Amino acid sequence: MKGLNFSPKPFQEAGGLFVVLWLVNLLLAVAFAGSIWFWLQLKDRNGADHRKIDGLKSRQREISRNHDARVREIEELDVKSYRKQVLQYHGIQTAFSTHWARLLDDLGTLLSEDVRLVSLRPGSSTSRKLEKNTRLNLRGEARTKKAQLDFIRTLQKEPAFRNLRFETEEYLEGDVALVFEITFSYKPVGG
Amino acid sequence: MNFPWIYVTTRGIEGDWNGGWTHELELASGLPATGSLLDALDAYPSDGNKLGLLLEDAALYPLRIDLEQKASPRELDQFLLWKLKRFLPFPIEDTEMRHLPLSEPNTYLTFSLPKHWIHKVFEGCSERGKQLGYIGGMFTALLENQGCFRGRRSIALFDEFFAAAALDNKGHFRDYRTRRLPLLSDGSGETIDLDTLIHTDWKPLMDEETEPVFLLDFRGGDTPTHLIWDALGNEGLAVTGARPEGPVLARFQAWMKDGVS
Repeated sequence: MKGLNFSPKPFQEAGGLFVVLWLVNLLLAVAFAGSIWFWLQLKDRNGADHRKIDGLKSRQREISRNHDARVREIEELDVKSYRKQVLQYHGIQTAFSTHWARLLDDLGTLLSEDVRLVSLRPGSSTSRKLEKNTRLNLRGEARTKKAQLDFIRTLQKEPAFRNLRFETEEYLEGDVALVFEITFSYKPVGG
Repeated sequence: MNFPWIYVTTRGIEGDWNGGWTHELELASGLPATGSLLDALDAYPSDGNKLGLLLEDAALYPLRIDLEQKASPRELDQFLLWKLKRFLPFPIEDTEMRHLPLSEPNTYLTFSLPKHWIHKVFEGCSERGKQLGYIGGMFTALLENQGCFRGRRSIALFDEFFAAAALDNKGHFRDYRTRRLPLLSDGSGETIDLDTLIHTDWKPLMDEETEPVFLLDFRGGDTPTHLIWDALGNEGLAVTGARPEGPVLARFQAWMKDGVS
């Protein structure tokens, strides 16, 4: 109602501003309801995430306990002794797997009249690697230094001893002959 | 505008609820005593908490006031009240006034009611749980609130007077005049003296040859309107506006809802 209304308290008309305010209020109400709904969804998801995190933490504690137990078990192991045993077992296995008759035959063809074989035994390996090489400790006697060197050279050239590598070499003065002891490793043919 | 209305005339009070009712009064002027008005409301209780009060426009003392010079908005009320002092039957200290500028320079249309009457009626309605949200003239209520009157000229016939108004395309009043309705002294009190009527001061309406003039018949009786149409048409004033069926308030609500066709 406009200018010619004498009422002290005229009726309020639903003008443009009223409609705009009504729409704004409606939008605010919808936004508020949406926020509440979103908040509840977020709360539920947050709760689920927290439960999942609690589960993961529990699992982590269990894994940590298992890890500590394994670490303690490892700490209790005598690693050096274990390694020594492994090497010994490896040496025994190597010795068992060596074809001694064939080996002696091969060495026999290399020995000249001035060199004789005193002893031959499997060598103990100092290497950390458990290789497939055969390691031998050989003690022999030679009448001359030349005969001993010829034997060494012949040994190096023999195809039966592939990849031959000398590791130690020791000379002992004998009464009548030159006593030598060598340790070498090689890869057996077909081995 | 969808709430109960009461309409106060010199013949009595009408309400449009409970199928419509009329409370007969013998009024010396256009305004009933507040006690009589509230008694009628007690006699015809209505639903809802809203109420509108319509008066014959003449009861609001419509006057054209010409100011000699342009008045500032702050001084305008005082200047108009000073001018109204000699025309109103109640003191200006007790006057509630509304005014509108007309198209002529420094010319204003004023409507006035006694403050104490307004407040007594309003408070009486409040005590009965009703917000009296509208108090005004029936014709001016239509002119202000129904868009069909924009850019048109209108004539409203009441039992004892008639009013002519012209609005511009924005709904501002260009002109407004009230005259006593000329009646024949044949004893019926309802027969219009057409010869006198058509020679009334129609100049503001006759000068323009645009859309036909709306004729709104707010008379209480069943006197036909076509004689007036014909008389005005013979004088070159094209008139339109079918009179809806029913009492005055029903016509008012029909015109308020659908406009004048």
